[in-house]
Amino acid sequence: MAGSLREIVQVGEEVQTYDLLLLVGEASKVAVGIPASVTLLSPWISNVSYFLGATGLGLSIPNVEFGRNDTVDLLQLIMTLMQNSQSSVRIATMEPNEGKYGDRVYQVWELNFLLKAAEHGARIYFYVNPASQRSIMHPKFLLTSLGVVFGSFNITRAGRYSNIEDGNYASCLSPVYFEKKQRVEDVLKKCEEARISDLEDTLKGFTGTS
Amino acid sequence: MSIKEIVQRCDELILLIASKLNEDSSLTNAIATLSELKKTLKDSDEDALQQALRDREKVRKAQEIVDLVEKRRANRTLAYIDDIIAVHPELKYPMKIPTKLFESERVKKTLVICPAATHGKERVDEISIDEMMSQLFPGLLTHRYGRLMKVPVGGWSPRYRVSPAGVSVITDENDAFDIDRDELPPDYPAGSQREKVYVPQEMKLKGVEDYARPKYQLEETEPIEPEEAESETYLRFCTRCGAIHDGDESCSCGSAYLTYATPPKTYPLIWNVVRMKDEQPMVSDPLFLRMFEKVAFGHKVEVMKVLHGFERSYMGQLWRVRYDKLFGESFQTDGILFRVSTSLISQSYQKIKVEDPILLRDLKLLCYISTLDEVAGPSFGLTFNQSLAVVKSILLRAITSTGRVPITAEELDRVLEQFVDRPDELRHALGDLSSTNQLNLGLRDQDVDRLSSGPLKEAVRRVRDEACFEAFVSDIFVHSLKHYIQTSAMVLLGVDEKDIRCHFRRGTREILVYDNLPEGNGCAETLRKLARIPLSERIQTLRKSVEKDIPVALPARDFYSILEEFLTGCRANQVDSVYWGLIRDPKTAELVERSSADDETRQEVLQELRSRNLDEFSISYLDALLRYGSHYTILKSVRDEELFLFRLAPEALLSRLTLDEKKKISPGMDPKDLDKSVLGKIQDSLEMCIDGCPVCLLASFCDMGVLSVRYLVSRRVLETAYRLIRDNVLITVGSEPREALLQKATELLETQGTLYVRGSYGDAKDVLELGFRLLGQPIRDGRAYLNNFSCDPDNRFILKMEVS
Repeated sequence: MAGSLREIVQVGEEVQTYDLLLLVGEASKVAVGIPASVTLLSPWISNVSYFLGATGLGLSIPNVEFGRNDTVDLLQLIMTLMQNSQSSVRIATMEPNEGKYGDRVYQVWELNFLLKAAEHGARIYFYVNPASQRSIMHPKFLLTSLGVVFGSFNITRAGRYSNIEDGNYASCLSPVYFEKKQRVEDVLKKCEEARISDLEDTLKGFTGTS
Repeated sequence: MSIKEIVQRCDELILLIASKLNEDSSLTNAIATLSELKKTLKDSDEDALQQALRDREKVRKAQEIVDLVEKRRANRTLAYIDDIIAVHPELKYPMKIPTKLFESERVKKTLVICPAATHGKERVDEISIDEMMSQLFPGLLTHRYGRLMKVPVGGWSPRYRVSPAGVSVITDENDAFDIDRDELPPDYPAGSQREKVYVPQEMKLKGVEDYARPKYQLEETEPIEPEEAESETYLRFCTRCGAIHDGDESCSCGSAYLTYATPPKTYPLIWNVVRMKDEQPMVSDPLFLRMFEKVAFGHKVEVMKVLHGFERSYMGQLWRVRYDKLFGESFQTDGILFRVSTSLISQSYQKIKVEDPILLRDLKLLCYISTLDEVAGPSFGLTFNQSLAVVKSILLRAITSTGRVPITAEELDRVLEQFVDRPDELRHALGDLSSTNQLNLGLRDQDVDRLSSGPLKEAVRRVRDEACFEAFVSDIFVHSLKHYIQTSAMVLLGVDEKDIRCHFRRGTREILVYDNLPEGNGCAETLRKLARIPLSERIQTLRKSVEKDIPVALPARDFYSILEEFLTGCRANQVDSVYWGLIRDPKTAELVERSSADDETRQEVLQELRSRNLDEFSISYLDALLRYGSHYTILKSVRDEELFLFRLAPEALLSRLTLDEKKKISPGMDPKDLDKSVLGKIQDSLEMCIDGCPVCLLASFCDMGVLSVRYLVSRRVLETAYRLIRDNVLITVGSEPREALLQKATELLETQGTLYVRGSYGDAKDVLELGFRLLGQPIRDGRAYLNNFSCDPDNRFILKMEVS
């Protein structure tokens, strides 16, 4: 019967539960001394909140502190994962610019999140649109060492909680996982890594502070 | 004035007017009018009229509140609850918030009359019957209304029923209900087949000033004063029967008076009879299907609460008094029935028999105490504490004479048998216990002679009967589970025992959770809704909540997940096991001694503890425990198998300590007080969660009685049962190749709807990979989800999966 397991499964409105489970899985690895590996790829990204209690998830792993609160945001999860110095968290998104969001505030929020994640050891990548092309980076992946969620959901509050979208999940024991992992690496190759100082400068540009 | 009274008044007037007709013929019209009024009134429905008046009053109150709110809104000022209370028609403002505001009007009340102090007015209070039964019952000495007062109970003896003084509790023949003798506690000396239970209407307290003396006025011998004396008021009481000589109680024992400062603790004996008359099946949990044969909700749960006496304890003695007149209340409400699986109880018993000889021995010991109480209580007049003292003394004698504790249940049987028909041996044993703990056991030589060949012999015979012992284990199982269920329900609902109660009757397997209010208060209904919350429902609620930006969500844990968390093990016990490991290490002892004076060393100790994966709560708990240097000297030589026995009979551990050790534990003590002081410290050091305790099991309002409940619970029995049901759906990573495990895991999810994947920390990656391989797979009519990540006390990683 195990042979009849599906290689990918449909993910609908419960996408945030898959995210949370994958990230908690990585946090559990960190708790027992195994480094985590997470790559977030989304044209628009924000510090999404996850609700442990509301999704009925019980968590009592030593050294995983966030299980005691109902809400945990992406940044807190990243901070937990980065407690292991060997962990790898990579975040790739579209280059910040005036036209990325309708309202500049959202861009500031995104940059704030990326800066803080970088300060805790995450590596940040921006897809810079070549001047000669009109293409944008549009795939969405949440890839961890345990599985991958992919589809049309942005890693934003609207994408994860409100919109009607489509997506799939594949476990790391599925061949599909390796295809998706390769795809993520291909996309990352087209991105440029941003240093903390770059992020600070960009943020200053949007907030107008010196 | 009632309609009946008005009609009567009309008749009187008609007669009066008729007698005056000769003087004035026009009065005929008045008679006709009165007759017409009388007829109209007779035809009217008095109940409906009264109801209409009440409704009109409610509408008026509601209108006033609505007007106020509208006025506030119009004036754009904030409306506080005080403003709402201010318009309460029955209230003068400013005044305290009326109790009715937060209490249902369906709560039955009793009037309490407190005697006037000197020339003041009597004070009148209204308390619920529950409060009366648990906090203000006949026989209780209380400071509740300022001065030391008492609800009179009348002259009494612990061996017979006593009448609470007629004037102290006023009842109404029409507000009472009947209860069968078979439904009362087995040891209640009912006089007839059916007993009447009265709803208390009013009770009068009594001052005891005339019998109490301040310390300087004492003329007799120096009073025995407990160290923790709470007052300077002294009363006398009889150490033989427990009667307090406060002008109300009296006894004829006459020779054993003791003057004391702190009144003995008195607890009520409350008995409940709860029956469910309608059953609506409820959704169960895949795991708990094996624990509960049936789970059902009902709107017709009959509850009868009966206050049948009280128990009083002082200096190791305990007396039980039964009332001649029973008090209580009865009502119908909502509830949930849990019927525990017979086969699970039986399997758990067999598992304990085969795999856990220490637990088996401990259960047998409890069985001896309980059976001796059952046998010797009604027929011999022994109190529970005396039965307990008899078994403790036998244990103490056996340990001191052999230098070791009985390890198996068979060894324990042999120990008890040695005292059957051997009164001298038993007398020596009781003498040893009494001289060690310096307590008067209240047993005379002739009592001991009869005890050895009578009740003790019978108790030993009964416990040796396998069926009797298994029935006792079954009772312990269901009784402990009852407390777990009640606590889980209270945690889920955020209520306390005022709102929800739980009932179990010995000899049955049924646990009834019910609303503690006539017609229900919604707790059982909510519990039914939140017993198990499917993931799809959670997702829908979550999305709505996020979309509308309102903090509305379902509770994080449903009832079954809270219950499961309790069953996986006591957290305090887990920390205790760390403490236990530390205290046995001489290096720790030295470190602890140093750290008490040097904060830097203390911080080092705490840092060391943090490296053991302990959370802050556990560390602070350990930090508090490790401050007691004497614990190391007491506990260093105690082995695991001795812990339960020493907790029960700390005197046995005292007898094992050398004089030097005792002096080290209690330095500077007078030699005559040394043993008493060391015994106190031994009791403190053993205040660990060994097998469940009344605190974590929430033992108040238990039919078993406050003082005996701890001898009828076992956390370990339930944990054994939990492991039994969980291990049926558990796979261990590393035991088989991954493909085979995946196959097995899928089959378990298909057939059982739930699955546990376990592995060592080293196998954590494999555990997670297996769990995530199954995540989201369509199984049965749902999908496989991970719903719990945890670690067990043996440092193993556990994932729980369910089909939702």
